[in-house]
Amino acid sequence: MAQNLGVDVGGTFTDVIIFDEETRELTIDKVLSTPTNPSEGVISGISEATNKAGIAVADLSLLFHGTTVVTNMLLEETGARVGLITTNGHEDVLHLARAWTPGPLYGWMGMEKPEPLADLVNTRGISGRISSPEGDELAPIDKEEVLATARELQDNGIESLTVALLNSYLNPTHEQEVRNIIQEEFPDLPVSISADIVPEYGEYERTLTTVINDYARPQVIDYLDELDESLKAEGSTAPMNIVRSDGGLMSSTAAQRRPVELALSGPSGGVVGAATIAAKKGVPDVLTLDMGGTSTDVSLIEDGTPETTRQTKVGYREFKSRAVDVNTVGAGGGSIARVQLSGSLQVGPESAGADPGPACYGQGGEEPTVTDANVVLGRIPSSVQLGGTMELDHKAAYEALAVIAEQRGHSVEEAAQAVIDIVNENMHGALRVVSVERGYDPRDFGLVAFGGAGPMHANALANIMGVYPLIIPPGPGVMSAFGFLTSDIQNEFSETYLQTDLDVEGTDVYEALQELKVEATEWLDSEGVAPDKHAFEYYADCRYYRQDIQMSIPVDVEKLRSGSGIGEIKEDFEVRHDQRFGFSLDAPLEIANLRVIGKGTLQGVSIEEHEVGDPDPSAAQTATDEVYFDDTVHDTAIYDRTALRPGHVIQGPAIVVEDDATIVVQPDHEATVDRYANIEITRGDVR
Amino acid sequence: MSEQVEANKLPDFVGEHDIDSTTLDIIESTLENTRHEMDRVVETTAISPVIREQSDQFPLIADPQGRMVMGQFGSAIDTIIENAAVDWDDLEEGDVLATNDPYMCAGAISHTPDMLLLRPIFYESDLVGFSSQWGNLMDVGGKTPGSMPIQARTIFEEGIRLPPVKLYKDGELDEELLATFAHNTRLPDHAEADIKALAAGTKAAENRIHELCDRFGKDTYLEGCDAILDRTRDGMIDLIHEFIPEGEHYAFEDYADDDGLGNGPIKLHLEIYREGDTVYLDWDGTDDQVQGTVNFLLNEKMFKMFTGVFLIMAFDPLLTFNDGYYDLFEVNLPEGTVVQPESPAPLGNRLPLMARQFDVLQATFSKLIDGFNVAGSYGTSPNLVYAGVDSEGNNFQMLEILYGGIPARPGGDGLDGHSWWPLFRTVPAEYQEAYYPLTIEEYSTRTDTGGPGTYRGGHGITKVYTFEEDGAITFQDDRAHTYPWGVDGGKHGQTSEKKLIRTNGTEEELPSKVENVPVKAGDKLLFRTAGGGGLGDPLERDSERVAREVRQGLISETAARNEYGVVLNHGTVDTEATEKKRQSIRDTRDDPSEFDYGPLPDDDELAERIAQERREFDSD
Repeated sequence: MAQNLGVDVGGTFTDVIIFDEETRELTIDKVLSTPTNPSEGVISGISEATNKAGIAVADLSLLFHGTTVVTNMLLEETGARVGLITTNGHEDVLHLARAWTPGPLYGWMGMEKPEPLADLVNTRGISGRISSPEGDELAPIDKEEVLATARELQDNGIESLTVALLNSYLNPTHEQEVRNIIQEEFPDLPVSISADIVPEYGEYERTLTTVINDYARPQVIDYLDELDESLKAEGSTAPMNIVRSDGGLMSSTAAQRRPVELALSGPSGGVVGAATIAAKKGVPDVLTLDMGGTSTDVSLIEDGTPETTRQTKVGYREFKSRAVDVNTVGAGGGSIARVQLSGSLQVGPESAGADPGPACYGQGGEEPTVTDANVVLGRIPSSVQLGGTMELDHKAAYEALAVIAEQRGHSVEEAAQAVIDIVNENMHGALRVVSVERGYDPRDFGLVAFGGAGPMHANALANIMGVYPLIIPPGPGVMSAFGFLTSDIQNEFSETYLQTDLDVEGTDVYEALQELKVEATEWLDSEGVAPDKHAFEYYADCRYYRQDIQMSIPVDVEKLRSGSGIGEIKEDFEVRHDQRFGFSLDAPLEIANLRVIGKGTLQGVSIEEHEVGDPDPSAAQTATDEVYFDDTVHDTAIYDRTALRPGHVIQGPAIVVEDDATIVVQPDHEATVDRYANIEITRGDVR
Repeated sequence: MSEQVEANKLPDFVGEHDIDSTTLDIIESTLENTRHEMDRVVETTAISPVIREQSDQFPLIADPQGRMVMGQFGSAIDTIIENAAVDWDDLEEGDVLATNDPYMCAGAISHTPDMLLLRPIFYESDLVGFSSQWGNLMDVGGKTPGSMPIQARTIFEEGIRLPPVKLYKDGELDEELLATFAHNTRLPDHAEADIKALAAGTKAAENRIHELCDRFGKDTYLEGCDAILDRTRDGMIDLIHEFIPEGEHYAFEDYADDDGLGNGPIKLHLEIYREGDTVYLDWDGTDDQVQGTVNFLLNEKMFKMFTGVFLIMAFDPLLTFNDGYYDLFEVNLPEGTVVQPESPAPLGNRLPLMARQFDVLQATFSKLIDGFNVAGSYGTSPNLVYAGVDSEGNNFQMLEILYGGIPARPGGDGLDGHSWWPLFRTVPAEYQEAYYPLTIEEYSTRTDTGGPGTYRGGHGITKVYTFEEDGAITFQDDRAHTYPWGVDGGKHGQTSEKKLIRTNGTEEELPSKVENVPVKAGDKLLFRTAGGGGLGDPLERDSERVAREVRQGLISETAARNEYGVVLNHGTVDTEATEKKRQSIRDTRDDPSEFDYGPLPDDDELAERIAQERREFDSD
């Protein structure tokens, strides 16, 4: 009896989901996270959920784990003391930070620049030099100097060490040599070299990314070791798969070496899950909307595959790590609304958080939030109890919004509607960044909405943007944990190539990709993936010679050896360049990087298909409430999602209530429960 | 005279606006996002490192009258069209005007390498606005690679100039015009690609504005533009009344070093006062235009923009800035001065005076506004060109912008080796080494060059290049003779320095502005930029912070003791000795003046020093 478990550690809650391969049933559980020692919350969540499912921890066969541990470490600056070894003369690389100051003019006056994660006190330059672009040794590494430097840093109390030398992306032997020298003397000190973490040009970004890796490493090593031991103590023999920022998986051991790949581990799960659900449904092109209490993550999925990016941003720091291209805005249920001096209404990015929370929580919060606005409009039925226990304080919500109403000269309902319009607009802006700005027409896409607040706002957004169908999956509040179960083992292998189509032939590119494939194969073997489960994707990051853009072009490797050679890559690139920017150039094609993604398929969950029945949903209707839509009050039916069955059709306006989310169906819209138990919403004129 | 009448008239956008406030907020935030989208498009599709790696470009969205609704540097659209071969009525959908002549746009762009594109935007055949984007091209011809000669006497030596002409007509690129322009530059491929990238940036704005008109209707969109301008104007009136005292006159003056031909120092003098809602900014007392290329054609509207942006960023950073407040500022720019030179004065190296103009503006406000102080900065936007023909016969030409000490700010230290230009970045050493024949030996912080203070001025940087091919270098910097000032008890920052170390070990000190200096493979250039000034009494600086910076190598132990009065014992603060040292400094020093300009000689001696340096350099 195989049982697979996904666990998602968030800032407030740890979500657990168990899939029973035999009965095909899902068990869902939520426990409070334990930020001071995150493995505690994971363990308690796992034991609670296994109890609920009536199984033992020892029964679990596959574990999938995503975590915000690294994200929070970066945001709160609670990582390790990192030592940094650079090339002589370049010790200030992180301190000078490419000289960037924010806009507009005079932006430097208010700039808050955090200290580098590797303190200058713990940064040293060493001799040795690699030439560019040849990658030859100009000056050797001095072993005695390296040892003396490492001892000094060790005396300073460093807990991990980064070696990031100039031009190591062309030739990593110096970095490797330095690492070997140091590890011989200090075998317990975690050491990362930059050519391993980001084998690409750009010393600032490469150094920063590697330092972030080492900043997170000591804690991640301990955290995963602890988790491993606790699970073993409970009798578990299931391998632990950790979710990466790009939505793929890697083993616990691999994660302990490359924790920087976990920086966006949390949000990636929901995107991967949404991709699976939408593809299963036959809607392979969708936008995703994951709206929580403080922020919203949006992304674009094309042909069942989430868009990924090489630039990951957490707080002030932007570094190079492959991640699902999630765009985050400070718009959530707890976002606070304020009227500015100039009279403009602003919602977020400040949030009332969980404590005191929105005014309607009745915990002393007084500032008006998005959730309060939803309460005033009747979008959250009075029957709903937050977290199953908390009564909504309608009066407090009303009073909080009355302040905005007075400042704007509106009725309280109008003020609440304005707050909703603005927060929707902020999310609309985020969705445009991932769609319109990248040359995609959102009207060619559907929308998958999840997270605690997503289903409440998604219909209005779909209406503004014309993105249909809108899909609300079952269990929208634990979508990330569900998504983990749908992930594959995955890692990326890349090299900086910097060759133009004038210099190399298709066969040269083929050879280079084959070398990367060998690396990827070795890695998949080491992760225990059987050879028949290996899969590979090939990409060339292209641009016109000397541009800064890097467009990832999928490569058919076999065609590289045939007549078309690189020509096909160039054609594909030119089409995309023209689609996105409206022009092409008579210039050579430059391949900046080559990448191979090695994948091993794991089957954590399968999506159950149901018989479709009668369209009449009246058995699931629990009440009729007055809800405010389009400047007036509508009698609105309230439904219980657990009582809805595949085939049921609901006419908007309507509200569907479930444990962890509330779904708003706007007027002139129709909601259908599909055969996978998703709620699908469409507008009369768009199908 | 007509301008005076124009200025006193209330702008037509002032009044009641028939638009609901939520729609207005949506239009405003969409235009704000669009502005950034324009930048992203240009940065990623251009091929010159100054644009792609350094982000030297500026976007703008304007209303149908040409007033900037969203953007950075303010609009001179009316002047551009006035000087164009076409009239307002000749503008059609799909047109893009292009110009790189500062004298044709009243200085909206300030030297010939800046190419400005302007796209009128139509909706249902009606003009609904403009988008504009300009960027620094790598080369536009003229007497030196990079087109910023030091020794030009007229703008004709600074390359080919396009007057405002249609580069695109009805959506079609005029390939012949572009080819003609590019042919006159040293890097025609770069010029063509970068100009197309700029056009793509303006197109992005057109798409967004069409979407807004689709969504809300054209009339609502235009009403929204008016309301955004009006809203900013109201906010600015509040700021002016709150922070600028009425009646009193405040003046400040400072110097740029020289014009690269031995003429200097060059004085900038600014006086500010308020009458009612109107703030007067008067540059009378500023030196006459100079022979060399440092003249800065200051656009009057742009200067109003700078002034407004300063007030906004200092006191209400959430306020959108745009042309809405133009009528609240009255500017006097005397003709024939270095800030209003007459054609054909050369303008290539306007950066020292442009940067000094910002410094002087912030200093005058420091005097004007109680409890608000900012010190002086590294004082220009230093740049370096290295060009030649490599041993395989290929031309190479590198252009790089460098950075220095950001001044101490209200409530905080200056930043070491950072940019006063917003959003600029350094070119990675690995990029330079991969694409150009040189090695970057060092890129580091210049210890002790930021002015001491309660808040320390940012340090300058040292960058050391080893050239690998014979070629020539051209560069400009400033603050080699004058110091970035300290304020309110803070000390001045240190000056910039340049040195060539030849392969045989001989060292040559170079002035801050040189043109086509031959270099041989193996020669090294040390490029050191100036620091920023400090703010407040250095004896009040947290002694632990000082000790920490000593350990980090940012401050020397000697400076800690002599400037900050902090005595260290094995890297930690000796509290007792520190108190004693601080007391003894207090007892023996003079009362600090409001501004510390550093150990400058009198004007005549400084002028002689500058002239002497140039004579010696020219005779070598």
